[in-house]
Amino acid sequence: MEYLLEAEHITAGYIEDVDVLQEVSVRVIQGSITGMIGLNGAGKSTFVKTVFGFLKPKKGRILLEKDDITGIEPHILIRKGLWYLPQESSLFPHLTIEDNLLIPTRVIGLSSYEIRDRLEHVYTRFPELKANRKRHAGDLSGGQQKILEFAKVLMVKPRLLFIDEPTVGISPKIAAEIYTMIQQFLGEGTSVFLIDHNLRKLVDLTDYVYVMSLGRIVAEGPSSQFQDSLKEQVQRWLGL
Amino acid sequence: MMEILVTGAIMGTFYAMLALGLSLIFGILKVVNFAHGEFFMIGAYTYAILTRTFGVTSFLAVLPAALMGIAAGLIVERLLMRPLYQRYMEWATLRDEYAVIVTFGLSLFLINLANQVFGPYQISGAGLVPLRERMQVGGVTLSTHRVLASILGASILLAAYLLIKYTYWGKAVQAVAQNRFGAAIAGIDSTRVSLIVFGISGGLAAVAGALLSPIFPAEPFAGAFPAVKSFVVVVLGGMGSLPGSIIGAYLLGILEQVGAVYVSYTYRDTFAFLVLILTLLLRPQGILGERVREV
Ligand SMILES: Nc1ncnc2c1ncn2[C@@H]1O[C@H](COP(=O)(O)OP(=O)(O)O)[C@@H](O)[C@H]1O
Ligand SMILES: [Mg+2]
Repeated sequence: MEYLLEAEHITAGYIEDVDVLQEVSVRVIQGSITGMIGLNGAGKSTFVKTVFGFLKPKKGRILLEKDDITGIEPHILIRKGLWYLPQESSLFPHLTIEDNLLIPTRVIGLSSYEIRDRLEHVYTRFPELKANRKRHAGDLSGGQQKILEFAKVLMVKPRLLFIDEPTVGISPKIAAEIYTMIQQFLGEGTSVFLIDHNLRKLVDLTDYVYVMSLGRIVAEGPSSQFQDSLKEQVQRWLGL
Repeated sequence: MMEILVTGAIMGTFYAMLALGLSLIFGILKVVNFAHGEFFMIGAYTYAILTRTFGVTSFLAVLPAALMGIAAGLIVERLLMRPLYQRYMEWATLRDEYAVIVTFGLSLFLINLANQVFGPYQISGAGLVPLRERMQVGGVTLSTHRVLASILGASILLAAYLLIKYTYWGKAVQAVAQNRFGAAIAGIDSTRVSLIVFGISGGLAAVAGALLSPIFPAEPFAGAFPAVKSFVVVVLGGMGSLPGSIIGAYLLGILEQVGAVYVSYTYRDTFAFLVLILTLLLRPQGILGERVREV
């Protein structure tokens, strides 16, 4: 099996003596969707921030196809084909929608032809972004902003995409659109690591699931294993 | 009335050159640079010494003054500001006192350094044209130097503004100010952005210092008053808003002139404080304050 990403025994935290993550090992298989669930405050977002270089792990290492990327700064990582849709907004509210789409393409080494091509593609797919392209991103509704964040992924076409709680506070209609997009990313060569509160949806969408509790991986396995009696299993892992 | 507007706008240009830089720095680091006036002082000394001691042609002396300001900005960023944001996550728990102490200390250091090196004497720069020359603008008789200096200053200001508004690196500066976290994800190197901002800020302040040095001579404390005024402008315009600080600068320039003519010339420098107090009381977010983080 080809592992795109391997995080081995990651111990990390925000301040000196508090390790939010303890010995976390996670692997993402090329061409798959890997999921992570856990209660609020378990450390899921912290894990992604650590992989993405916002936090330096105290212990452990992170490999991207055998290439050690531990501690590499986020702005460098996107050149290696990683992308991150955080729980909080990553948009620039007072720049135009078009600038928000174009800025990330600058550093990943695309020709201006490719950039124009991808922009055309995004605008065809999301006519409402095209219609508003000269307006500020902050003027869009919450749901539209989320769509814009996902449209940015189509501009960069990463090899591995981390998505943190994409549907929190989003209408069911846009949530459905987002889940469809996640599946389409896979078809376009983007492997996905997804954190989501919607357990049923997560298990349906993913190939493999990690369960995190209090900064540790407490269970993992192929999603099919969790299809039945999902609720009971999850409650048991999380000690509810 | 026309006289008040024109004279006010001329001063406003120089306030804007200082305030734009201050606002840029505040935008990306959320830090008030208390040493901003010393960038102004460095420009004033460079220009005054080059034109007076070495007889360099006035127009040519503006460039080295700008370069000295840019260099000062880059050095300050590299040595003193970088620890502020070195590791991203520490940013969230950043202690503002650090920046206050560091920039305040730097300000005192530079003032004392100037005092040691050049002594407490005033050195006034040569005018762009001989200072006696006068010209007519809109029926008002003005010093030709002032008019030329403000046109040159306004052109540089405009260039800096367009650079920030329309180029990739300018947009990167805005992006870091609006969402530092998102900027890192989008591949923007905030270290470089910070250097760019300090370079531009230092350069603008130094050019303002140079062009004003025939009127307000270079001396160790030359930057103190301009810095205070630019703090007022930034509060008036709305912290971190670039259009706000430019509008605020011209407004303050004109208000001061109104005060000087109709109230008291002697107290003209105190109107800035009055404006500051009134802004804080009536509209603490400033003119364009709702969009605090817009650059
Ligand atoms: N910026 C931060 N500084 C300090 N502690 C933090 C920060 N962000 C999160 N934490 C703490 O880290 C722990 C894990 O948080 P997080 O990774 O956001 O959990 P999850 O995403 O699983 O809900 C929580 O206890 C939280 O309080
Ligand atoms: Mg989270």
